[in-house]
This record gives sequence, structure tokens and C-alpha cells, in this order.
Amino acid sequence: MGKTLELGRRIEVHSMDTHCQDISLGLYCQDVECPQFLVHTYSHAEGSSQRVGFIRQSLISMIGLEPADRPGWLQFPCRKIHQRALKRSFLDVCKLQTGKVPEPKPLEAFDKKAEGNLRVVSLGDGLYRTEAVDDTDTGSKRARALARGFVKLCELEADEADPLRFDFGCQSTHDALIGMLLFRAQNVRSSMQEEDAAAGRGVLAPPSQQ
Amino acid sequence: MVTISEPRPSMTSRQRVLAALQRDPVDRTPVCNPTSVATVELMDLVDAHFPDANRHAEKMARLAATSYTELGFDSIMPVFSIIQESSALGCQMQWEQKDNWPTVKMNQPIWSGPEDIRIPDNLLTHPDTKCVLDAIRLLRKEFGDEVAIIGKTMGPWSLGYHCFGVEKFLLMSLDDPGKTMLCLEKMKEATIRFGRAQIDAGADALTLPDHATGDLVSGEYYNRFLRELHTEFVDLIPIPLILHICGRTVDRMEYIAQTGMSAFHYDSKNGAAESMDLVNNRISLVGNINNPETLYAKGPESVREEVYSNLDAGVQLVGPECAIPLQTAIENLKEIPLAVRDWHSEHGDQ
Repeated sequence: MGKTLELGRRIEVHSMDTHCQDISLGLYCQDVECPQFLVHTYSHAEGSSQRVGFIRQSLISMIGLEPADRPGWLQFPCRKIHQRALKRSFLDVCKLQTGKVPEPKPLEAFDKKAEGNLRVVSLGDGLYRTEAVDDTDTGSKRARALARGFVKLCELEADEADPLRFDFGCQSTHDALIGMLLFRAQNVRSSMQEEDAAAGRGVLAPPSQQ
Repeated sequence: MVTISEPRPSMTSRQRVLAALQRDPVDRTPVCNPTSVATVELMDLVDAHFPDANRHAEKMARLAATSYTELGFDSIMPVFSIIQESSALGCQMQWEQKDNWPTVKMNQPIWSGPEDIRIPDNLLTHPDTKCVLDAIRLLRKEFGDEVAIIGKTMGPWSLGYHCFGVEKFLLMSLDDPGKTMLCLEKMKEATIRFGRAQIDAGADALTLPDHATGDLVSGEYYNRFLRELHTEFVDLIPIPLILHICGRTVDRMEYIAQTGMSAFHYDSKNGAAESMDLVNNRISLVGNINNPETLYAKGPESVREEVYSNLDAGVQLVGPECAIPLQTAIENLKEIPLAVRDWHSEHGDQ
């Protein structure tokens, strides 16, 4: 009798959790009226269930998921999947050390290239706008780059009329998710490179390509 | 997706694989992994992680067994990597961690000409080859005749890459084909000795990877350097042999089909139907389910499509094209045997 479980589709895996004995953490998704998510490890290593609990709580606190009606499962309040954003956030949450569950991140952060702060403002109904706190040319350029970063990183809808706006398309606010991914959206190129490198790891290449 | 329940099978997994390797009738197409199906999650499940599972027999056997016990494949293949013999031959190794493959440091070659080649006396007692032999024994003891146990012995072309370095070995083949032939002739001893030892340990079949890959080596090269050598292996290693070469290989399938090997483990860069036409029932085909795009990055529906495409073409054994990425999702792997059973049910074969 097999010991693997029918958990639905695994949408992301953190292969080696250095904060908990190198266990692998999977993020699974099942469509039960709406997409629901479960953090799971097959490891029985000491501390692995506490680790899963911490990641789960952090997904609630830091990206705005809420408990679903099944034990352990989570869902977005908007009942949508937002897969790209969730995958990216999950991997970042897995980098946190187990401890006190962190607070959501602010929607404003210092931007080195802008030499000032950038922020994301919720316009309601899932619509957001980026802006530079200081009204400079570089700041405006970086605010546009930030909006593009969110669109690319999370596969969101760009507003063709306003390059500073983007839309989740679900008519719901996602402030926690935006705060979580703000740093990534500021550095979208390195984030994508990191993703590519991670995708290549664990793939056995023939000797001729090593 | 509706899964049709499987009627009572009339063959064991082992019988099914061995019959398909000989192109004999089977109750259903076997699901076979001539290369690794280990994943990081399966490592957690059975507490047998890389790199240890490449070096310790018990962990190696435990992780390998999951292909049968968890995924529902008809075979177990404990030799996950392609470096066990190279380590025993003296190559410098990078064993890596749980989430990556061990590799040979090919920028630190150990040989530069045929005169350097020495197959050490301890080839079969070196810890990195002995663990393979012990793992096969453990698996045979645990599973008896229930499931096919497949070993692996690396061909001399692959060993050449590891021991001479890829660039140097390929340049030698251009500059001095005679010298290259001599090197292959000397290195084949390792292939034969390790292969025979795995037969003694209880293997039912052996994968023989010889990386004359489509990207670097032409079909004509295969014919010139390897066809006869591979034909010789069929006599010298008396067990069904599954040749594995990555990449687009239709330009050499005619030659491969002439070797007398039991099966060719073929890459998804080759169409199932065109490959079946080329080998024309002279050798079984196995593999072809795409790793990086399908098993790793897509979902069970796409896996099912590729399984069906192979079965529609009449491919004898279905499985991944090569060692799967370690991050592959379990549900995608479990979909392969489910799809095979469903295809047969839909076609009234069972």
C-alpha cells in the first residue's frame, strides 16, 4: 500500500529547507468550489510538522490567504488562484526561519535606483497604482518599472492607458501579497533569473552538457 | 478525469517487463523506468536522500523501491546516477546535495591516452559500485519475482567523457579515430564487469547508457565507433540490455536496431511513430515521456497525452525519457501507470 497522498496538483516545491533538516515543502492545490492550497511535507524529520505550521501561518499573515473549510487548507478571500504570485510568495516564505509569525510587509519601500521610496496604492477592486514618494524623473521611471515588475512577476493585467496601474482581475484587494512581493517586483530581472536557475537544478544533463 | 479500474492482471510486473523487452505478448504495456524516478519528496517519504542514496545500498534500495510501491511502475531501478563506475575508476566527484545530481569533475580528467587506461582490480568492491550490487541483492530479496529489477552499466563512450573530459575525448575521435577505438576497447572491460556483477546480484535487465548524444555525435559516428561494440555487449553481457542515448537519435536508430539489444530508451525529441517505423520491430522502444516540459512543468493531463501517443504508436514499454528532474511532482509520475491502464481499458485489451 502506497504512502503518498492524493493532494491534488503540486504547484510549487521548496526542495531543501535549510531551516528544517533539508526537508522538502510542497504547495498543493485542489479545486473544491474554489482553488484551495495545502502546505505539505512527506518528511517525518523532527520539527517538520511545526515547520509546516509556521509556513502555513506565514502564508495567512504575509500574503493574505485565509483558512478554508477543510483542516489545513487555505484559500484567497477572492477565491481565485493567482498562481504565479502565490508560487513566488511561497518560495520567499520558505526562506524565513521558524519563529514568531511575521507581520504583513508595508506597501512602501526604499528603492536604490530611485534614491527614494516607492509605494503601491490600492485603488480598490483589485486595482493598484505605483508611485514615487519623491516626485523626481528617476522616481517616476522606477515607479513605471515597478508596475511592469508586478505585471511580469505575478502575471497581472497591465493598464494600457496608465503604465503605473495594474489589476489583479478579481475585483479584490491583495495588499498583503503586494507588500510581500514589492521587493521582488523592484528587482524583477534578478527574480526571474533566480527562478530560471532553480528550474535547472535537479535536472540531470548528459555528460556532453555538464 | 475518470480512471477505469484495472481488471485482474494475468502477468506480474516482472513478467510483463521481460516479455515486452523481447516483444512478446503482454497483458498490458508495462510502465518501465530504465533510469531514475527519484524525487525530493520520495526521498523524504522513505528517509533516503541524495547524496547518501547514491552511496549506501540500503538507502539506494529503499528510494528505488518507491517506483513500484508508490508510483505503480513495473520496474525498480536503483542506479539513479551515471557516475558510480567513474567514481570507482578514480574520477573526482562532486556529490552535491539532496536536490541535485552527483557529477564527475570532467575538468579534472584522469586519463589522456589509451596507455593510461587501467580498470582497477577493486572495480566491483569500490564502495560506489558495491553499493549498487548490494542494493540489487536487497531488492531481489525483498521483491522476489514480483517486479523487474533493472541495473545500469555505463558504456565506454560515456566513460570516455568522464575519464578524458568531453572536449578532449571528442577531439581525439576526430584527430585519431584508431586511438579512440583503442580507448573504447579498453574501457569496455568496466562496462562488462560491472554489468555481469549486477546479473549475479539479481538484476533482470540492464540499462546501458552510452552518451553518443544527438547534439554532439552523428549517426555516422555511432555506426563507426559504437555499433559493433554494442553488438558485442549483447553476447558478453547475457541479459536484456536497454541502450540509452539522449537527444534526437533517429539518424542512428537503424544502426541501434541492428545491435541485437533488447530495447532502446529514447528521448522525446524523437516522435513515437517515426521511431517505431525506423526500428521496425527489431528492438523494443521505451521512454519518450518528456521530462523538462511535461513531467516537470506541466500537469497530469499533458502526461496522459504523451502516454497515449506512445501507446497509439505501439511502443512496447512506457516511461520517462531519461532520469526525471528531482523536483518532479509525484502526481505526474503516478499518472503514467494510470494512463496506461485506462488506454488499455478504452481499447478493450483488458
